Amino acid sequence: MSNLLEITGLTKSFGGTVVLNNVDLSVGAGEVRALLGENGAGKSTLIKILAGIHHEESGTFAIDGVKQTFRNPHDSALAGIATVHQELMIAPGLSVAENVLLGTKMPTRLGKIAWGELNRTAEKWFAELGQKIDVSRPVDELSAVQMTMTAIARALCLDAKILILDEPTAALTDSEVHLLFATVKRLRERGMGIIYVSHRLEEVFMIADTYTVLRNGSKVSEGNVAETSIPQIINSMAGREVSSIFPDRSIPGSNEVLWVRDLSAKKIKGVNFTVKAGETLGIGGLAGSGRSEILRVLAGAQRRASGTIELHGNFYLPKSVGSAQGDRVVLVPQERRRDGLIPGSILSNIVITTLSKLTNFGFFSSTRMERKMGQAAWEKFDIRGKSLAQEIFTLSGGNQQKVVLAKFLALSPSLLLIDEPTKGVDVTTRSEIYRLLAELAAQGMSIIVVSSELTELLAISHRVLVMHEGRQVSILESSTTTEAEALLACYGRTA
Amino acid sequence: MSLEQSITQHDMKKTTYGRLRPFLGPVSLLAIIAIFGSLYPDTFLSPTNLVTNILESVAFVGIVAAAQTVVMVVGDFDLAVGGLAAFATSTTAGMLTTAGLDGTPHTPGAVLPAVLIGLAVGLVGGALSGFLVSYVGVLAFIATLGMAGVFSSLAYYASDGKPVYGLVERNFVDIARGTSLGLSNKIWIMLIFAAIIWFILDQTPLGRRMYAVGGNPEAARYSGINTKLIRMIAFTICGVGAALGGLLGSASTATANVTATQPFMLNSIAAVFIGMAMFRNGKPNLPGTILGVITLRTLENGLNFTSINDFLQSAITGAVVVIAVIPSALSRIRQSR
Repeated sequence: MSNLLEITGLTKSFGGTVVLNNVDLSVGAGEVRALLGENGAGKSTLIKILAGIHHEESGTFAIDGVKQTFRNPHDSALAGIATVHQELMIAPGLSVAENVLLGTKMPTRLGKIAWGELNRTAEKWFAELGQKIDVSRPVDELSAVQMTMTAIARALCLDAKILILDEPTAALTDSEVHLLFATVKRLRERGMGIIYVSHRLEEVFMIADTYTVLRNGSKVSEGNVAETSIPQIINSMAGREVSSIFPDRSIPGSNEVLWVRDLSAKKIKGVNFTVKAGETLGIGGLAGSGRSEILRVLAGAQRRASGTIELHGNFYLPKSVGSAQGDRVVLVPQERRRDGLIPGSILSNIVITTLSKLTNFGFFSSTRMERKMGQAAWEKFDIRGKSLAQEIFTLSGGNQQKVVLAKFLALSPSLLLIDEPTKGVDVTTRSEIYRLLAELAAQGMSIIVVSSELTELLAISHRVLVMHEGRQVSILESSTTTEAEALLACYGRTA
Repeated sequence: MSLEQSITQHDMKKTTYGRLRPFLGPVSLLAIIAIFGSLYPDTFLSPTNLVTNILESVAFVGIVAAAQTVVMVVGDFDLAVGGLAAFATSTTAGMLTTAGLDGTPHTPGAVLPAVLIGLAVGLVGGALSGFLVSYVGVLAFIATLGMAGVFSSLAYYASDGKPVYGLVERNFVDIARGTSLGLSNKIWIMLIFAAIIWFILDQTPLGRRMYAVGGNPEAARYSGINTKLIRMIAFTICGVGAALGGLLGSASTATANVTATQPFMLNSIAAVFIGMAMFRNGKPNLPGTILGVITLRTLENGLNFTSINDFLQSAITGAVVVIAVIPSALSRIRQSR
């Protein structure tokens, strides 16, 4: 097999955090390579570099032996790489045929689109995929798998040599998955090189020839799928325990503070758990398994469909984020940039949750009180910046996260809900955050933490609730659970 | 956008443009005054012109622009200010006319209730636009464009499609035309209203929450802010300001005319944009808005002295508005990339 795509020493970091470290990867003609790893292992970054969205820091990649540098997604398409992203790039309102030929020169007659020719061309590409679809229909009417096919047909139409499929089966039913696999096999026979990203390991064994596992941005193993097994792959995804940066877990109290019974909402079904005072409950699972939704319902950011929640012995049903905060239930959201921070100074972000308290006569904002509170947070959270007046987004990821923690902990929560507390945060700040959470728990605060990193989750929480496709798989005792066992649960299996 | 990129972009803002930005506004205002002043030293620079023609005539739009600032702080804009001002004015004028709508003499009602009713029309109208935008979820552009049509139509209906003349002098027209402490009452009213808006925006939790909603609505929601209520309050304040601007205009001319409030919408939005380009890193802000209104008015006034065709003068002011906002628009494009 000649190598169609050859990546050597690819490295990329964001704001001082290395997300890809010297990664090698190759795909030959007619090869399906599975790209595997936990969330945050670096798969998406790798794909985005190949798609021309991110730019490599160092390292090279070559297609058919020709070295490439992509300035933008267009360059990537020209070089023969087509990416079918998780969220399909479909133009709603246009027909299937238009979507297939989007990005090529549409056939025209006298400046008017030649519909007959357009449709015939699109049909031809679907035939190559072994599909028959009425291409004049609006693309919105298609089923999920047909939309994926449309995206793949577009890749063929653009004469792609390398096809990247990013979680193509996430929205598909079992029978649709088989349909997709039949198509992937046809493409392989045509001599296309395929990079296949999926969390569903069973599928990898059905469709892939070779695999590469990433962990923390580095390649940890690769080989032929035929020579490995699911447990082996899971072990290499999970890796060995790194425990030095984690503080000791405190001993939780004996009183239950929160009872959740049979809770259902969008993306979650029948979840049951309790949390004690001073206890840290972890919630694990794959991305999209319903982890964050549990937090959002508790925080009043999302509606509950059914089930009961009791807080300190009273029924608890927050109508809004504000009313949850009134009950001292506080969510620290996952996406710092999108949900956590407001463009402006560090100080304006720290005080935003407690503006009403920092007033004279309950009405005038008091600059003096705000500065005092900002100064206290600055010292307590050890924010490393120039001054409180500094623009928030000029801080490093770790320091931004400290500001986020400062602003939400200012509400003195009794139940803290925290989503991905260390995403995009450097190691030093990480250990500071772990220590802070441990101290808060020792003072009696109940904490529910969601994390994609099982190492972290097992190390900082007393128990871990594992979610899989919206359902609760199990609640594991952290002290007696290995990472591999937890990861198995994330895939919906119980050991 | 990666963190790294965003950091370099923020560093880039500390470039020449970033450092000069606070001076751009005052300097361009001074430049306009200097140019017209050197061309027409006797007329343009006369106190009558600078105070009466420029500052006094800025009062109406100034009030509306101050109100518009509030809506733009929460990230929306209100296209209905002109229509709402007209409706509020017609309502009050119908009660305060001595000439009567149909030409038969009419005994005017009491001034204070009539003015309060006019302001209440503004309040309810603004709240309605705000409700549509924040609770129903209609885009501000469409909702306020539609409401602009509704309000102007109601204004014509209330005034029978004609200007309402002969508004009562005592306690209405004479207040607008009078002076206190040597300064026109119109200017005082604008300054007081602007000060209230400045106070709300910069010195109260409400205003700071408005900035948060405009800066990042999702983060504001997760911070426990009732973003829907905040947006509706912004539109409500804007409605009251539109009504006040319209009423003050009708009082100073003793006439209520629907067409008189038509320039409110474009001029108020343009003033806020100019103010954003001048101060505070591109965020709408009250001092900037007031300086923006004065700059626009000074330019218009100065052009009146030139021999440039009247119809072309608006083209020049329009071009100046666009040029003024280009730098901040460019820096925003650079940020979003």
